[in-house]
Amino acid sequence: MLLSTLKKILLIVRILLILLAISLFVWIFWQILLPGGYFEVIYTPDTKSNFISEFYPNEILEDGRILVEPVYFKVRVPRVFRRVRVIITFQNDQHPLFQVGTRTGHSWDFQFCPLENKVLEELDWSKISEEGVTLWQKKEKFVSIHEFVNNLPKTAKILTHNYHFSKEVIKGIEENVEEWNVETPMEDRDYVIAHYFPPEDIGPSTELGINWKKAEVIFENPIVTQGQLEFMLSAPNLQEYKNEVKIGEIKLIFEREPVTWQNFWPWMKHYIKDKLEKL
Amino acid sequence: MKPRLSKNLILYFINRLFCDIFIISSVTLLLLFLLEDFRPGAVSMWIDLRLSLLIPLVSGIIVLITSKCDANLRMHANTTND
Repeated sequence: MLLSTLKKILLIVRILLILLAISLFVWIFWQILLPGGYFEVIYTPDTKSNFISEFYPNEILEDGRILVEPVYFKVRVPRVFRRVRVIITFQNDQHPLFQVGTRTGHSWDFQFCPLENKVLEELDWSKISEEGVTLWQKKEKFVSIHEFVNNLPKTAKILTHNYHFSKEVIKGIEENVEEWNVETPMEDRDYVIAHYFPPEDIGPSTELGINWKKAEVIFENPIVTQGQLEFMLSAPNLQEYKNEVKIGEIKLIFEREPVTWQNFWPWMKHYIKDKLEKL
Repeated sequence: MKPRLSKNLILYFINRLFCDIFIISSVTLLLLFLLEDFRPGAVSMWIDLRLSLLIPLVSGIIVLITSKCDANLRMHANTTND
């Protein structure tokens, strides 16, 4: 009697264990598939993320400070994404440029986006901003960016920052167009065109009195290699200038189109076909 | 009078329970490792596989320890049935 009751209990436990194992596989499959098309990873100096690797070759100190750049890190992702939004909260008191980059291929090529460019922000030239693109003019001549791009001055020196002209547009004046960097002297340049959003000021820090800033950049079609994306935090010449940048939070939002019945089966067929071809 | 659980019966119950846990967790882990091998990161991204190995390991040890009692009880049950 007692033995048969125990056997019944054991049978129920067995069924529950099997259901638990099945639901574990369903949950993992759900996480890989990401039906919502949205995946978020957050790093703060206090709370590390399982998805973000150790920082290398230089580190972010326990209090979030970067003293030596560059700092690389990898993020493990379950799928390939259409875009990644990188939102970084940081303190930068003095350093002229702080930027984030993502690896664009198998070689050491990185695509950079500026998080903060103090040189351009403090430039007292005439400024026009349209749809995220800003044009600085030493002497005001153009009334819109559209007008400037369609009538590029033949003799003026033009600097670009996170902005690329097509070859046809700068045909014949390639020598006058150069990419801006921290050491570029601004005195003998006439125009600067940049794809740059200044970071949002989100208030002072209680300890240092330096304002926290929040910047957001977007990388389209990021390259995933072996299930990982590689990022780089860069502040050129940080060590030489003896400056520091303090990280408050790194938030990465990965986006792709949500899974529907229409796109699920073609994707599944393609995935299986791809795997079979590799065998 | 209520039937009392003897020591052997408790050990038998523990043995069968952990035997189930051992078999199911071993099969699950094997499948998880296969999935991880097939698609690197698919499992390790969410679950600590090294820590998960402890489940079949610990349950296996418990099964081994309690297996003698289970054998005794089986023998006893067979004798009673006869």
